[in-house]
Amino acid sequence: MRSLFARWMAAAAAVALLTCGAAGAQESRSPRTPNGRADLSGIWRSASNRFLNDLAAGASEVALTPWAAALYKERLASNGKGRPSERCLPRGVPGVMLAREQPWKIVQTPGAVIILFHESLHFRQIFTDGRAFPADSAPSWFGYSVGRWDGETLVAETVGLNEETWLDERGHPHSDALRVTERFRRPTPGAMDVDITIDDPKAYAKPWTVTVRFERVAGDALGEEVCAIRPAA
Amino acid sequence: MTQNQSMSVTRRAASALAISVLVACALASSAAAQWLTVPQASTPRTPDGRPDLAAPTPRTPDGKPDLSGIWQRPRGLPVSSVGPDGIAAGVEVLFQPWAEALYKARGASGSKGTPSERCLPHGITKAVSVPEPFKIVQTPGLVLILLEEFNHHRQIFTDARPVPASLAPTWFGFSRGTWDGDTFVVETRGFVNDTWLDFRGHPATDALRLVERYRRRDFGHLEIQFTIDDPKAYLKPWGVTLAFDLLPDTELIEHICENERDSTLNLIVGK
Repeated sequence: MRSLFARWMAAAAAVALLTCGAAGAQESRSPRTPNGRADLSGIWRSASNRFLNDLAAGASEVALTPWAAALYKERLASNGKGRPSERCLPRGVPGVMLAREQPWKIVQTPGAVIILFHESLHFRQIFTDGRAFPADSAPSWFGYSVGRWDGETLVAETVGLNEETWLDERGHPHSDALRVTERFRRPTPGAMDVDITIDDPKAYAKPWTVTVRFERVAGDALGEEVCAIRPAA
Repeated sequence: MTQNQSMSVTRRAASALAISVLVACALASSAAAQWLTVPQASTPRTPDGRPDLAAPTPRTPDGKPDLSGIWQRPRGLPVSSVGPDGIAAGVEVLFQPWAEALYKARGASGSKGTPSERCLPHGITKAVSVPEPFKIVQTPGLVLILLEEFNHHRQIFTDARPVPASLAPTWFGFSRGTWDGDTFVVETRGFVNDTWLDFRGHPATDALRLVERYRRRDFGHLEIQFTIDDPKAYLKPWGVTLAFDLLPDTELIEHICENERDSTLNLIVGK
């Protein structure tokens, strides 16, 4: 009896300590889901448009293969004329994440992390239920994303992206071999850092990575913005 | 039709074909290349291993029906939205005079000018009456509807939040959901002023209050009863019930509106 009571007291004390610790650390510690995962839920937006304009800003070495270099040069020369977003087409992955004026909302469910976009009402699904990439799926604007947890970090990998998207507004190109890895982590409740790795052996001599900072936006309603085409009268 | 659009249609047709083949022969055919097969542990199965679509309605931990899943208008039915009476087939609709005139004009023009011609969202009733499926994701406090066509999403708040005092008009409005027994009741307001309720062209205004009642009868079947209450456009509320079949063990296939490829570029951005 006595030892049971002692254990109960010890457990209660531990719970009290944990509770106090959690409350005390609220400002610096990121929220968690009931099953103990880092909770990325909420509305986020890029801290600046730096990476939207030039994803390679701050990357140590970005070596384009000859055809990619030629295409990039052409896009630079025309000031990015013809970029898909001019025509209401999606910016793709990772471009859709990067515009400061276009927040997005993470809805974290047990089997998938869903990202809802203000821009064009689009969405992405990152499947975290352990599934593999489909053996054969048609290339698409947002590709196919699977995710796993590496401690506090959500690691999302995306393949199957069509060749129409640009990595940024300047026009860094990619091929159908593109594999994007995004490592989402929440260093403080109000901030999210995403390490974005571009691995595309057809377009770049080796993979390169940048870290993009996102800020939490108050509320969770998101709103909607649509981009419509009006045929000329 | 652009190459991309025709590809998309082909993919969906291939999917439908693949399903028929699966049902008929229980064989995965190479025609299913574009059909995403994602077996779910949560799918109840008959002794022979096939999804048991007549199994009981799944429930969330709080005991409510779980509406989650990928849903589609039953195959073989005409697309309800494009029939001669649109979604109002068999329903008496009493229009305000201006709305009736507009509805007739749209009929006469073959529904020219439907917002989706310009890649604008379908709005709620039109979005679920297309052949493409949609996915319901039911979470605590929030139900999401992810639409395959146009890759659009909708949020239904179930956390009892108040309706904002000032609602910016949107294509999908502001939706709140509550439970009436086993029926999920969604009320939506705050619509733009030029919704088409269907491809036929039933109009709706910013006065529209749309009520949806979702009932998942069993694992494989969902019904949504819509009530259209828009006194600016109609003399009295009217309603329609649409049925949906579950597509088990699969995933949405992305579809992006790319109509701009056929038109001279002239963009409108609205919020």
